Amino acid sequence: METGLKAFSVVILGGLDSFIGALIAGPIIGLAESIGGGYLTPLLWAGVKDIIPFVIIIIVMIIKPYGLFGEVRIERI
Amino acid sequence: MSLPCGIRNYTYAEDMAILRTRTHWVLFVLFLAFLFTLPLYMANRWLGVANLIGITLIAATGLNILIGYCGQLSIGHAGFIAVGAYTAAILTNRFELPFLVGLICAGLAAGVVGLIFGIPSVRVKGFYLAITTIAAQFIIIWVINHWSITGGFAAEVMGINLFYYKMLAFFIGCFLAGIAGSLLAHWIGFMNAEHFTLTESILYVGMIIIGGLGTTLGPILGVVFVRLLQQGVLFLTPAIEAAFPVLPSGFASGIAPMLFGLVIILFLILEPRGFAHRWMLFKSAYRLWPFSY
Repeated sequence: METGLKAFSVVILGGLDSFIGALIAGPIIGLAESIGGGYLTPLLWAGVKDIIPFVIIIIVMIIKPYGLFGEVRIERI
Repeated sequence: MSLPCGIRNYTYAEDMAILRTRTHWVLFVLFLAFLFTLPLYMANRWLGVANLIGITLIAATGLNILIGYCGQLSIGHAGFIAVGAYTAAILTNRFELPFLVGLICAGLAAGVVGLIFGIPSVRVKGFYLAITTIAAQFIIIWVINHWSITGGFAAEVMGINLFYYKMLAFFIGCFLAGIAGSLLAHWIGFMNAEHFTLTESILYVGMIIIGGLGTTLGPILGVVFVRLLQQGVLFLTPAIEAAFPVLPSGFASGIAPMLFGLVIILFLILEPRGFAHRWMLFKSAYRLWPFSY
């Protein structure tokens, strides 16, 4: 199930309503996972690779909730 | 709550009271007596189910505070329960602290973790918050596995501190989840991350929806219904396997999620306000019955 949920991190990073965003965010997440996993595994715990996409979700949510290419919606509650 | 005819609330205390009329008190005492004498005559297995219902109820009430009353969708509740469970387990086993200390600390720990993951809720709403809580769930479980030990914008306009109330909602909701987790740890007896999956989180959200969001009665009905449904599936599965040998071999293990998904969909279509709403309609119906037009 975790593999399917990594797709969420791709769309969140790219922006939910943007096709180009998904195209660009996909390789970014993949590379971040592999490169980050490769560099961080000796430093931190083994298995950091699995958690990197979810940490990226949290970071994106805090910094830029609509992702890189998403449409910013100014909502009045 | 909807009161019987002729009873009015004249003070704030009366309006907020949980046990309002004498009937409420009598029923409450009787129910407590029933609960306390339950182990005398109930079989061990059903006693276990009752235990599970009680523990789940505490966590579900916490989730109800988050989703029903404050509108913060959270599909990461199993993670917060896990925090509580592991905190209680470590405190009582490794550090030999008494059970109650472990209980309170489990609640506080889960509440603090809930605060941390509730910070994004200030910036994001709705679907995005749900994704964040899913991510929170996975991060919590991953950390457990790898660690060596273990506002209403309208409200803001009116002057209520929205940030404070959102954080408070996360803290209280996850505090209750932590308490439930500590009880779960002591009841099961051993700790494994297998119980706290995303499926479990979704199960909790389903329980709240089936029971009724934003009511006190809702979680009770929802939790009882779903746990009994799970027990019912346990009985049903061998019967179905015996009755229909043509089905593929793994079919029976998929009946539970299928049934659960079907129940959630039916409830969302037919009765989105859950069992609690049906119960209130029923109560109004029998109160008004002789006066129907």
